[in-house]
Amino acid sequence: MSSAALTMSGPQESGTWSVVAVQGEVDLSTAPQFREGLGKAIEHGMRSLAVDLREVTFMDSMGLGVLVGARRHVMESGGRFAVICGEGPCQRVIEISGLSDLLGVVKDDASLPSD
Amino acid sequence: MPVSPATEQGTGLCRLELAADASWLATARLFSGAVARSAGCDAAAVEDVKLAVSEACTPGIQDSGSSQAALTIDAEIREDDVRFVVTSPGRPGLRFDDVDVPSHLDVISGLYPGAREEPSGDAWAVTFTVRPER
Repeated sequence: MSSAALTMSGPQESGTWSVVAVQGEVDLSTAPQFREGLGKAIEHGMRSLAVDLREVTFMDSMGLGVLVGARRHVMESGGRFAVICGEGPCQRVIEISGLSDLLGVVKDDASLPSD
Repeated sequence: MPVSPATEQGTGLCRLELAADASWLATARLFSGAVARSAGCDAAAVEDVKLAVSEACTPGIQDSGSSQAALTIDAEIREDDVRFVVTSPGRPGLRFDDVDVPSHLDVISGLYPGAREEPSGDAWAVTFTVRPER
């Protein structure tokens, strides 16, 4: 068996943003861990949360569901949310789903909005 | 793994049967990606196939609960394309509660506009066809 694996690191500060980096695969088996990790970041008061997916090697709509839910929690508390995503599997599923604008996708840390 | 042996043209049918358990999803992707690669798909097309198969398998695993339901992935390598049929107890076309998130079938159809789902006994079958660039 080859189970999906997911790790999360951070948050690291990038300007006014707190960046949580994700590595590995996001699917049904790892989505709960992904949701819990982002939930902890939100609970700890991060009001400008960016999720860095550049080292995610696979993500399907289960990951999209987690991102959309996390964004909603952050926005409802008056915060900001963004996704850092270069070219690759994450960009593909986000594009196909038409969620790039909703999720605030940028290509790197430097592209995060400054205010 | 091949159900029918590949012919000289490289055609044939491969099948993978899995327990409806999330821990097997990565294996389902490995299998489908290997089939796509052997049929001549480039790296980007292989990733699309893996995404589509993951989407097709996921609702069946979610709906299976603690039952011993099985998923079947059939990949028929034909002369000009590969036809994937994923049969599982779950329906990929059902919407999520969150209206912002596309259904599994929405994602598959975004990749392969001709994708369809249909009842198959007590299960649902999702069919999509991949045409490798040659």
